[in-house]
Amino acid sequence: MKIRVLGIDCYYGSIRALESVSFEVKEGEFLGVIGPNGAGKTTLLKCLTKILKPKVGAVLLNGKDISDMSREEIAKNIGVVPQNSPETFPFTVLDIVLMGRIPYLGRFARESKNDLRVAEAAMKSTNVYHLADRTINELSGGERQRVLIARALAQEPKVLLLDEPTLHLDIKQQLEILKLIKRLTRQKKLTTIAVFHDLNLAARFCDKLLLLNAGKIHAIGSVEDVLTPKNIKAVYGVKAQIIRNPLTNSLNVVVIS
Amino acid sequence: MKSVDKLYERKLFKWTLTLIVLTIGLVLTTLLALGIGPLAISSETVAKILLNRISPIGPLFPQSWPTVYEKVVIDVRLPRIVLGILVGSALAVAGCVMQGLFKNPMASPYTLGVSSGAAFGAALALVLGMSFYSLPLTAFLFALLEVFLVYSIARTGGTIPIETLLLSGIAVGSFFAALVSLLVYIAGERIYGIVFWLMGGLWASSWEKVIMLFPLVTIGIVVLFLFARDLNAMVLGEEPALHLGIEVETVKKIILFFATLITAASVCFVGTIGFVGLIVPHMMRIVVGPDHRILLPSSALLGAIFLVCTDTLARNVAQPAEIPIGIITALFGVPFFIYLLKTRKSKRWW
Repeated sequence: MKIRVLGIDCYYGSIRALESVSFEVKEGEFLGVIGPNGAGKTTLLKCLTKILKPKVGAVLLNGKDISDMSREEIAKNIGVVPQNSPETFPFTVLDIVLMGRIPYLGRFARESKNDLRVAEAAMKSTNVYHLADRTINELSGGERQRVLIARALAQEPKVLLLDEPTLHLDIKQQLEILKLIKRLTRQKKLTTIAVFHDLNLAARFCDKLLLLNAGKIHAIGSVEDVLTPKNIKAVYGVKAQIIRNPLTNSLNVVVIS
Repeated sequence: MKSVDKLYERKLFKWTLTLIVLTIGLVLTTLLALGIGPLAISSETVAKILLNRISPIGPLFPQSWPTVYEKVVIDVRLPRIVLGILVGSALAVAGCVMQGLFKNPMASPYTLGVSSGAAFGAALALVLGMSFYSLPLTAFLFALLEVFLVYSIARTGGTIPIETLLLSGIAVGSFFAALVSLLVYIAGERIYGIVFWLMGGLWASSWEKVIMLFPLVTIGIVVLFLFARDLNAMVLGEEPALHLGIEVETVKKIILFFATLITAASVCFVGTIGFVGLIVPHMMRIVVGPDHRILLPSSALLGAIFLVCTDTLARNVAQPAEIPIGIITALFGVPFFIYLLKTRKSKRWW
């Protein structure tokens, strides 16, 4: 499913958080959204799911304006993995993943065999199936993040949005989560958009990068086009060198001063 | 292979079992409570008296007891106990959904002051000499007003911090409680009395009240049950709930409306009874977990059991006088409340 953002402006009260942002992401593509704190990364994700409504412009899912879609319809198309919050409630992993079926269930219905199958497949594809009867609080940060990804997958989405999927994770877990997201994007032909803080991780796993600065797109395109010393200097205000890591064959940003 | 199905079935089995056990518990509590009082009647006789009244099987249980027993059971104790069941389940369910809605373990109709708002509305209607049937309406209107005030005061920049919610609940609640006291003071003997409104009591029960309360409480509870799944998603956060397709703002308003309705309906007939809505959902959460689909019905049943038990204590420990039931629920509730406060910081709270 193609997602197109057409010139959106978004305000918090009178403060403009996004200004004429336009871009598109195709099926099977993984876009990383980067930029300094307060650049509007999370605001952009909120606009993509109708939590915030842009003042100007539109977000189109396969040509359809999401402001004309019900929340339920959006939930059937877009799965969102929220920022990893350390404190939650002792629901079991199965309970959490089954919540992904809420948009498909009528008010009086309970989960059908099919819903259980979908949840099972989602848990298997993120490798948390063996944890199904554990409560979410007993899990490590990486496991919990995989459960939240499984819940988003249980929505059977075409678009997957992630807000800093590697926050609070150690380096091994970071690698696992991003490999998983990349694999799911390819296998399930998802349109994936993730917000990143870590430029090197974004450079290594994303197909395209979008660099936001003060609510505007500073650069968008391939990793090589976006991650340049000039762009980094302009947006983050630091001098940096970009080198290609021979071991991973991906770009590394080395901050100099 | 089918372990997900097994897990799911095991969960449903546990839920069914919990509800069966609690229902049996409620029936036994009712039978026992009907027999306890200045005139002690055995549970067996109580059961026979009740069965005798059920039309198709009635003749199977011919009268073998003095008529006065029947009068005491059917006309005196039964309406009081049925009222207790309705009020106990209403307060427990209201507390349970408020805790979920505000993601706050200390929320309940009493701590948020909703009960005091309702008590003021009911007392005002009585002082102004309005009709008996307008009682629930005025109670409801003032309870809604109270909730609106607490909510607006506590809300800062789109979020509701736990501290300000509790503080504004206490402040606004105390204000309405003071107004109730003032009304009672001015009105003198014309309305039940200050103790009734501030600490609650079921001594003024009648079938008439049961008949009025029954539809309000059942409709309210059933509607709230229908939003159990939404509440599950909402306790994990409002944004995640939106992402699952839930219209959070609408659902919030519906839940708050019906929780206030069942609280107000209860309070206008039995006064403000604290702590039922606080303790009962917590006890059930420890037993059945955080899923509101089982938490709500099981809290309703346990709330009914709890209130019938405490009311039986209230009307019997200081014979021939009665202790206001609020004193008994507070004697259980306050230590539990302190326990929650002390453990909340160190651990997750449910």
